[in-house]
Amino acid sequence: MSSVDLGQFRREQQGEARRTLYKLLLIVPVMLVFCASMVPLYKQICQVLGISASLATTTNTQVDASRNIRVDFDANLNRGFSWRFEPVEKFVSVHPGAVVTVNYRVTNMAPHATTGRAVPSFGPIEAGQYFQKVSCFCFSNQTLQAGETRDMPVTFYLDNKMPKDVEAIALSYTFFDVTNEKNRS
Amino acid sequence: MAHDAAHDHGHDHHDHGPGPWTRIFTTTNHKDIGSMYLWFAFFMFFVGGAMALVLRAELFVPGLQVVQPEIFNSLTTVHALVMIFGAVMPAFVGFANWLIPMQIGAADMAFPRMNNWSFWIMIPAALLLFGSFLVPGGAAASGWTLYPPLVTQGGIGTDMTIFAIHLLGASSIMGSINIITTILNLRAPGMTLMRMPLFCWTWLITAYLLIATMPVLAGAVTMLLTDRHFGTSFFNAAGGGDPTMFMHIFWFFGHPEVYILILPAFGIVSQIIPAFARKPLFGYASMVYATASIAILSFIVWGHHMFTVGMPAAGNLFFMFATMLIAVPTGVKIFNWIATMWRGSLTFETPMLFCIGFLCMFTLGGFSGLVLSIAAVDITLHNTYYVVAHFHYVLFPGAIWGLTAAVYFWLPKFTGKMYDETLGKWHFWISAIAFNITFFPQHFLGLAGMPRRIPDYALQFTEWNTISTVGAFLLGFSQLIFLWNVVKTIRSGEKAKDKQWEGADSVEWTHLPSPVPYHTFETVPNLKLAAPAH
Repeated sequence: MSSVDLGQFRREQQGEARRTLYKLLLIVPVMLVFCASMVPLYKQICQVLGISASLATTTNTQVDASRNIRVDFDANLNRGFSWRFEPVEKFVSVHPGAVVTVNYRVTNMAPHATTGRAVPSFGPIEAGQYFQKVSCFCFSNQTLQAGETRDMPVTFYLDNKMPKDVEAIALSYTFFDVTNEKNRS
Repeated sequence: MAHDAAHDHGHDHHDHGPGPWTRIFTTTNHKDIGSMYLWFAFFMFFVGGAMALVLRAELFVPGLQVVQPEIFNSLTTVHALVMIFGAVMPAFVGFANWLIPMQIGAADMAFPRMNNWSFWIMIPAALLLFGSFLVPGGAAASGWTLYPPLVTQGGIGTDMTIFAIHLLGASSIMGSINIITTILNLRAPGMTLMRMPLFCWTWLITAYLLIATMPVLAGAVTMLLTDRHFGTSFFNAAGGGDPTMFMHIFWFFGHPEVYILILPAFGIVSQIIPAFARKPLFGYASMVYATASIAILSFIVWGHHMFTVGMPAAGNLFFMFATMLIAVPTGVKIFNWIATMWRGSLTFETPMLFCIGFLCMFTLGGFSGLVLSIAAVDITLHNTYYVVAHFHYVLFPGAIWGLTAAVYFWLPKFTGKMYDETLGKWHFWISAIAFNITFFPQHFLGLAGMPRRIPDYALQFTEWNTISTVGAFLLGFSQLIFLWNVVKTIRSGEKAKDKQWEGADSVEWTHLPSPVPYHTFETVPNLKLAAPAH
């Protein structure tokens, strides 16, 4: 191959290589967008498949007096959080469809005001979709002054579509310390 | 560098090239960069190995003797990151740099300056990773998977690890773009895609995996960073986030990553076995398609790392069957390698020994992988030493022995000097025996329920742990033979032949002398007749 041919050959190769480079570089932002879109996608998929407890909706609220379901209340604090947190009643027995209100008692043991935020979970996890909370202290910030004690109510009913073999459900809350988070924002 | 400043206006010795120190920073030659990648990987391999030996020393007997639990956790984390991102991946990129341009008849990589940059960007990443041991709170201690919420509680060392991963990811993406472009655009006339050596093929597919998954990892660790410092709640339950989502994103990267660590080794083995069987590779086309199938399937099996997080049964079943499906193309490959050896004129030089070792031990690792793919079984074996044994069986005899075989096979071509065959055989047999002493007992420990990543253990696990530690130190020693052999070859090896291996048929053996000149294929070769026919 003569040197003139070689020069042209190399130039053509470099041109092609540059076009390939741009195509490949395009994959990087596409995959970054894909990664970031996992967050809304995850929510969408859960909603469509009905996996997430918090998104389920029901219509039938009639009381089914033929069944009694024991609901246990559990209270947890995230590591190192200086609150005392416990249910006023350890458990209640309810008919599906009946609206019930229970209280959790929270005390701030710290010598200053602190803010917490509670996140619920259910045992078994599938029970969440039948557990309808009408009002709840969870997911919103709760600020307690030093030494303050407060009763926090939860109003709920159990969906009477709940499978017949369920006899007991546990509702569990975990309080996270978000005092610093609040100061930051 | 001072020397260069003094001669700022005296660039009249162009034919001498820059001095050795300037050269390593400014070189754009694919052979120089390949060598730098390989030495970097070799160094990181010994550092990562030393960390593993500290872990094994701690586990020699129950109780805490050598290190505190915090250090143990950091060492577990950094051992994995160093071995994956510092040793195995750069070593494969090093071979890609050396071999791909020569095997396809190109003068250099497509983007030589980007090539230099993708090497040098790894150095600050390595410094960040090692420097994180010195900062308050120590290095990241969450395991290389960086699961929240543990990882969000770490100190500044965790942030340094996240930045190191960003840099390594950028380096891998640039390296991959270079490799794909080189293969697609710079092949000499006659070197059609389906005549390329398999090392080029497996790297082409690996590079696509890297470009597709590295941005996902970068995104995931960036979300960790904003969760840690900017008040976001991607994975923070207190703000309505979900730690499980991190696992989904991480393993969407993580599972293709394990094939990134093994596919180039498949390519290496597919070239070395035919050379010593003196037969062309059996089923060349099926090898290419099997590699591509493995790569595609690797994107839909991530859930098998998370069978215990409470996915719906349908999800577990899907991931279980998709995972088992990967055994089919992998089985095709194993079959083809055995069929290549069948009725071949076999000889057992060191590279071939490592390839046969690869074949036996990697298959064993594959079988324990199949056991773990069964969702119901995985629930008991999850996070036990059985998993540790499994992935070391696929990574050490898989990735590391593939690389070791490649070093012995191509060192005569790169340096023009022959390695010491006796030392090579010692290296193989000691590491083969030591490897099995180290990792086979870990299957028993896992089945008996010993959890991984814990610095202490219950008394009934003592015997197998002690044996495993003895094996680990022997394995570490056997790698020193490797280092010695490589150094000895470079300093005083006997002269190698241009075509050192009778059965080697790729272009670097048939068209180029040993050692290969600094510049090769400056004029475009015609490979229409020369390229190996499959």
